[in-house]
Amino acid sequence: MAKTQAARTRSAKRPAPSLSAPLLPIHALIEAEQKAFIETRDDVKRAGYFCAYTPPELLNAAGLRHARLFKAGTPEIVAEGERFTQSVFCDFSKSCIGGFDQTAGDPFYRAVDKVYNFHTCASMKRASEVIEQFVPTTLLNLPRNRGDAASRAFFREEIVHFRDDVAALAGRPITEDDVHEQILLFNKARRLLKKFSELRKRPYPPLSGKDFLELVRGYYYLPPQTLLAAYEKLYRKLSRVPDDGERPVRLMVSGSIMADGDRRLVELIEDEIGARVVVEDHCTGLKPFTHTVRETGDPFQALADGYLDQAPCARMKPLDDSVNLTGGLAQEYDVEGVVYVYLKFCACYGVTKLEFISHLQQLGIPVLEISSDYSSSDHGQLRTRVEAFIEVLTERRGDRVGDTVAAD
Amino acid sequence: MGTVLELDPGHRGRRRPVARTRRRSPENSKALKALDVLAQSHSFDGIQREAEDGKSVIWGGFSWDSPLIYACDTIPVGYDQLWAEDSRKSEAIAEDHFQVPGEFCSMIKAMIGRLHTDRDSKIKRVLHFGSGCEPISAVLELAKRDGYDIQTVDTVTAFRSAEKRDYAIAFLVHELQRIAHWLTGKPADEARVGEEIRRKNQILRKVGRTMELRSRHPLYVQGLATKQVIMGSMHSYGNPEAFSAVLDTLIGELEELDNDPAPLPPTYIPLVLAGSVGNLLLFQAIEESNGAILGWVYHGSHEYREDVPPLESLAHFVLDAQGRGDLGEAVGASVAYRRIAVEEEVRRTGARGIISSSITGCPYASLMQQLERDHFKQLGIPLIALETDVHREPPTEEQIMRVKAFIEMLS
Repeated sequence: MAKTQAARTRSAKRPAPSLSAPLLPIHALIEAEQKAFIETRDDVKRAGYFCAYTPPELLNAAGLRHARLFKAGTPEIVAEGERFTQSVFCDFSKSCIGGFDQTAGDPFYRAVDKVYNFHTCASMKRASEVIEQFVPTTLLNLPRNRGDAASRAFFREEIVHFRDDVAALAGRPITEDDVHEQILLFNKARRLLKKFSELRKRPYPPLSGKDFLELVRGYYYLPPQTLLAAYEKLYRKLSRVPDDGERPVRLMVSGSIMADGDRRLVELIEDEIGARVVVEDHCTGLKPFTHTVRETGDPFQALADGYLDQAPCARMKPLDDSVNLTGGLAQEYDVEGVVYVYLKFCACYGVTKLEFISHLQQLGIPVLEISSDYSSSDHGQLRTRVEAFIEVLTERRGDRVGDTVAAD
Repeated sequence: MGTVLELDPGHRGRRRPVARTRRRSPENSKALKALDVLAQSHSFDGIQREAEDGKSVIWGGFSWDSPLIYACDTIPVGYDQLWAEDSRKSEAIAEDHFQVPGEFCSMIKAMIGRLHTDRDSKIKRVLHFGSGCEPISAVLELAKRDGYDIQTVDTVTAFRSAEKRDYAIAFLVHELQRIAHWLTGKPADEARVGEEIRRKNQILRKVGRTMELRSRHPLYVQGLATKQVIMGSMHSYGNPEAFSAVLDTLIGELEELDNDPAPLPPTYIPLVLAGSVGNLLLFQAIEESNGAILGWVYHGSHEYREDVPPLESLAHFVLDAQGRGDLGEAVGASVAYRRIAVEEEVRRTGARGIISSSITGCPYASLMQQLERDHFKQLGIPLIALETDVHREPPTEEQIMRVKAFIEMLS
């Protein structure tokens, strides 16, 4: 019981993650930006959004302070959300609702003047309908049939509607030139994030999976100008790190959203067991940075196409696009195993898990399946399972070396 | 009609026989029998036979979109038939073969399990609306592995009451044209769709009248029969003429009861039911506890517009329904508005309490139930939230006890 209480307290405080030293200045920048978001007294409106299908280009063009709201809530915040949702929502959607609670919520969420949610999964749509009780909220449609021209044209119209709503919030118009300029800026940031990730293709990556998640965190909290200045410097530094050392067991984490603060699995894999996450197939890892937005022509259609063309969420149709992307990323990053983790009650990744797992297994990649939430009570069990999986991968590596020697 | 002798309890202790006309009873109702026969004819086996006979039959397309589907000479079948039989076995297939996690609702598991069992049947096409329930969308992707041809009308939602964007209407019209092509290989015959809309509107008016009349005679058209009326209002059990005729008869019977010059005073506890009831035997528990469902907020009887082109009319219908919180999660209806309709029903019927029912594990319904709990608590109207599954076993003792205790408390 005492242990559980201690775990709760630890989770509630959310200490700074044990990042690599070069990442600490980035972490400090993010913390400062969050503090400013909450505390700065100015007339600049704060906009928040939940999903990686929301184009921040328009929020930035309007001169708003903006951030993706993707925190893993503390047990208290999850409990606040659960007051509305009962138990049958994932902990992420509960955290989103609970974060807005006027007394027990998260100050960062409570600082938000307006929430935008492109309707991704039905649970987040429902969560937004509750959140509307606390803060003005605009819900927008996100098509599923990502390959259809008519769906793309419809999404363009929704993005224009979003532009108008954002402009009204900011009290200033947003021109096509403004949007074009932001597309260039955010593409630079996306390309840079992808380059950071590609450093992980090295046998001995100069940044950990947790480091990369911190960089992604920065993408969603920092203004792009700030991000580019800091990240370019960091990239130069990391790209010069010699590629030597013992090749760690290389893993991909795939599945549901891994929220800001939901680091227990990555910490377990990297800090406690010593393997390395070299790529993520989820919407708070590499996934949103595999594509850029077209830089010519109608900027609204470019945004519509660009966001629908990004590595798809499993709610998009056809599901094969998501499944094939997962396999492709695993091969591209030469992973030895995949940890497929889905949040309990996540329909997108829970119901369809067999499709992903079977595909990876057909490619000869072992998979560990984990059903997750934001509690810490199953740490021991989780550790045992992950350790056993990595042991199997290590033995497999030995077998492969043996096979190669025998063949020689 | 015969007469029965009955004691008049209101006559100051002097017991004298009173002649009273023998009332209609549900057991003798031609309409209710015909309704049941029609509903049973819409069985899984019956539908399969129609498909084997060469008729065009699809899963889905049975709700707001049914006029288009009928206009494409296709029979739309409600998803509910997928869990009408062998639902336990189907659920087990979902969990074992597809490894759908146990926390998801029995409805989606029974759906995918049954589709898998019948993968060699003639009905291989499924129509689905992308605005609806996420788990249904996910399991239908799994069904593709069994060779099903799944067509998704893309996600379009009016998130607020009266929030309809013109381009959303236009996009839905495009999507409906695409569905017509899928079914017939050619554009929708708009004149036919218009005819189907007018026919469905006639049925909806009759359903509305039936619901109004039965709210005064809830023990005549009891819970199960009412659900049959409501389900029929969507897809007419594949036979709009027959369903329309059944409604005419039923309205006639109810009007006859309504015109009774000496009606018996109600002896039941009036209730409003919000949502569907997965386990149909719960109706029995309610009625055995002396409760009667006077108002039912499940699927509305709002009509389609006839002043706009037919496909636009379908688009307006579904977007209006979403904004009203009508038609449920099948169309992605708002969770914020159904309570308004529930409150109206309570006021209209004088109900003493509300039974809010949902399927265990349904995120949509659980959230809406909580919003309703908060809302009606403020209004001082008692509400009990029930959760059931889609299986046909008797309700649990706990469920029955909760229903009975609730009704007893209201009495």
